[in-house]
Amino acid sequence: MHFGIDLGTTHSLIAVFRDGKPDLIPNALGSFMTPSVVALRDGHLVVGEAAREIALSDPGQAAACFKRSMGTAKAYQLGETRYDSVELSALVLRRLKQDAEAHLGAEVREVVISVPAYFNELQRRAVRDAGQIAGLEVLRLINEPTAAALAYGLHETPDDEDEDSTLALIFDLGGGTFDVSIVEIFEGVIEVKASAGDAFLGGEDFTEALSRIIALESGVSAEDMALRPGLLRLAEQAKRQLSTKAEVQIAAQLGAHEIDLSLTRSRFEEVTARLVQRMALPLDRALSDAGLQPEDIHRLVLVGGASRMPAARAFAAKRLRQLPVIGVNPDHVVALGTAVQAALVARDAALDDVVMTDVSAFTLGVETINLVNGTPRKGFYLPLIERNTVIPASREKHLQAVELGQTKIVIKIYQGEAPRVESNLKLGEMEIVLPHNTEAQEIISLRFTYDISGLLEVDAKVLSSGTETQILIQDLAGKMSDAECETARQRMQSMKISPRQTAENIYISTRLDAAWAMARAMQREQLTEVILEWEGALERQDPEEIRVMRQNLHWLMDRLEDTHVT
Amino acid sequence: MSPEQDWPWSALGLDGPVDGKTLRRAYARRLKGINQATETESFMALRAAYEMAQRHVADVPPPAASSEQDAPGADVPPQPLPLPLQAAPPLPESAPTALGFAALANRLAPDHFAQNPAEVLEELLHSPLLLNPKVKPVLQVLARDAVRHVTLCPADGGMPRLPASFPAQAILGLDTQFGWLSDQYAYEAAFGPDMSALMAMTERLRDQGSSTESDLRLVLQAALPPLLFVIVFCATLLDLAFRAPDSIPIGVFLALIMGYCTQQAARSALPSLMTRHAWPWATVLLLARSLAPAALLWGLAAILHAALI
Repeated sequence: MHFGIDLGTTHSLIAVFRDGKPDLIPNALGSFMTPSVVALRDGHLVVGEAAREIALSDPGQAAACFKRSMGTAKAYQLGETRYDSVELSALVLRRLKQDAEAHLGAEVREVVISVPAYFNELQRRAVRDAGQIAGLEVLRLINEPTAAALAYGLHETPDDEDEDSTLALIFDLGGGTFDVSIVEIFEGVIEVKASAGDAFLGGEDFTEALSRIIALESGVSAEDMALRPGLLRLAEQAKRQLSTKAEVQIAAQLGAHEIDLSLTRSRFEEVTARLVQRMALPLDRALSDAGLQPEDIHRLVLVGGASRMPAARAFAAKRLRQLPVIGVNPDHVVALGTAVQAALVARDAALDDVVMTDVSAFTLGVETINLVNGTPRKGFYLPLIERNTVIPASREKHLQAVELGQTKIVIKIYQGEAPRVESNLKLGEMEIVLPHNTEAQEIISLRFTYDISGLLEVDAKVLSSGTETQILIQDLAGKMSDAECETARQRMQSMKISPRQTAENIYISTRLDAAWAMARAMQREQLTEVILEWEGALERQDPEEIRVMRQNLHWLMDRLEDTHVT
Repeated sequence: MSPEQDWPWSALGLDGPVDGKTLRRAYARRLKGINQATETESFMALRAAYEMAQRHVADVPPPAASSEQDAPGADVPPQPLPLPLQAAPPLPESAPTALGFAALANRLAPDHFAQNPAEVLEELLHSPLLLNPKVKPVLQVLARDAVRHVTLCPADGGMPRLPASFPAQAILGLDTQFGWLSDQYAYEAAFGPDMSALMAMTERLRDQGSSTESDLRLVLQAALPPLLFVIVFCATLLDLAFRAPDSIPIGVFLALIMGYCTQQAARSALPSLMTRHAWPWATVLLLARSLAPAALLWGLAAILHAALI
């Protein structure tokens, strides 16, 4: 068995590859999707559905969307303690690991985890560290759109006899991120040709925009922290319903405000037009990097929960002048792809005939001095390995010393796309000693070698003397040492984390409280009775009674929430 | 023929040029025999051969369907966008768009643009025409020419600059639309290898970020040596007045050193203060600099005087 994890901004999933195909593993609540949220309740940390409910009713006690700050020093305050995004991600990963182990009765150790294609080295390291803290061995990281392509490409066969290869564009609009990648599929080879993305564009941004409209039209302040959770909850529901309906009615109680309004799909699309337009840049970039025109694409594949929005679908279809393929569930496809990748890495016999080649999502290069208006200026970026180069790859360039008699060259290595180095991420530097030469400028040859596990090797050779210098870029600033990982793991052992069973009860309790807050007078009376009954059951501590009641209550809550947005 | 002569075909297990389908099949067969994680060298060699072979496939058999249109294949190197033909811009589909386009293109014409960059950029960045994938590349070329036209390259080889009327906010807007500051390839595709416009735009953004605070820091750095110099200068005067003039006072040496430092400091800080129009500070430094030769002379005179006596 091989495992793959989709660590998402809003939801995370774990999948297993066995018997020649990938399958998703359900969590304790029987759902494939575990919200990537951690919350504090009665001094204990809860992860998943329960935490998401807490985040919706009491955002101060919960941390969500922490994937967006991976690789930065941002910390989240939960009660007395501060947690960084690596620790929070580790908690989510550990919950997935435990759920999978409980479901399969086997240990989960080696995994492949997916990351957005635009994640830089620091962010990738942070994900690896999170895996290590969670007690997992991260075999490989895979770009999310690549994973999607992999899950999709396994079943793909050209529909035209003359065509022996298929070009597919994977359009992945997730909870917090937008990724595009173009793949060519032929003879069992899945070749990623280009990927591009936007780090801060996802379904959450659409929910946010919608919540502002609901606030505006019902005369409450969108900035009011007390009303925000309720607003977001309504917006999320309305957004989902608007994917299938042309108009929804919103009726709920928000604090002292009565909300009663109707919202049309066209109004929603009007306020989110700017967000939709931001998808154009990554789309154009991926096409131009692959050297293709929209007409060249044979298949448009939509991935990610937010791609269900009609506006997003329409945008993609219009840009590529074709209708999207309906296939695998857009929420599941990345996780399934990670499991396929895990099987490929382990050279599973079932995938003997399948090979995948990936590209480097970033440009790698060095700082150089350029002549501008006749004067030498520093800070220019010289790419060595260009983005969307098939990896592993090795590229060489020659650089010249600026002055006669120069005795050393400092090579500063960067990752990024901006033409000025200060906007890119510095990976490291090396110093090259030159022989003293007053006759001519010394020339060095610089070689970058980048392998599939993300390891960059830099070799420099002084042409006149043949002296070679070499460094490996792997230990970046911000990466945890093994000792630090160990400390973090111990810290996690000492955290008070609610056991899986209690977490389910917390989930129900929070849902009930939230429903009560939003209900209107009539429903409130009924709900009070239900809450009393549930608390009684909790006190009696009969596991069977609690289990049955939980099921009924979930059913009831689903119906009730539907009445707010119709 | 030797295997070297047959490359790239030999590396793919082929005897010579083939069509795309056979090439992909040969590549797939070889690829499946290689472990990418461990056999890096073989993979890279195979990949290099495949990429080279693809270019030759692209210009060998033109299938009937795709030959009529010049599809940009892998063999076409990226080129800077061609200069726009002002006379014949491609007409957008509908009449209102065409009119809007003509008006905007007119306003973006270099001479018109130079008169009021802020207003024209505002109009461009809010134009719905940018949403049209067919029109956007044309607008990019027009905007590129406009920016290039207003970029001032000082004759002495100084830093290229944008006029004061070019708002920094618009630079960020242009970056969002065209990726000029955030994407190396986008910049090069638009402007080619000339980095003047890039420097000018980055400088303008940097100026925007700087305030009096950093002016003050600059001045403090530069003014510390002259301040010390003034103190030492006064001390030397007092020293000479009250002590026997037959010994060389230590202050004289210090005056020499400080005079030199002032000159250096003023040289480094003055130009940047002046380009930022921080006139009060620049005046202070100018005064200090004009005093510096006097200090040097004074020091020399004192030494001579002491030596003669």
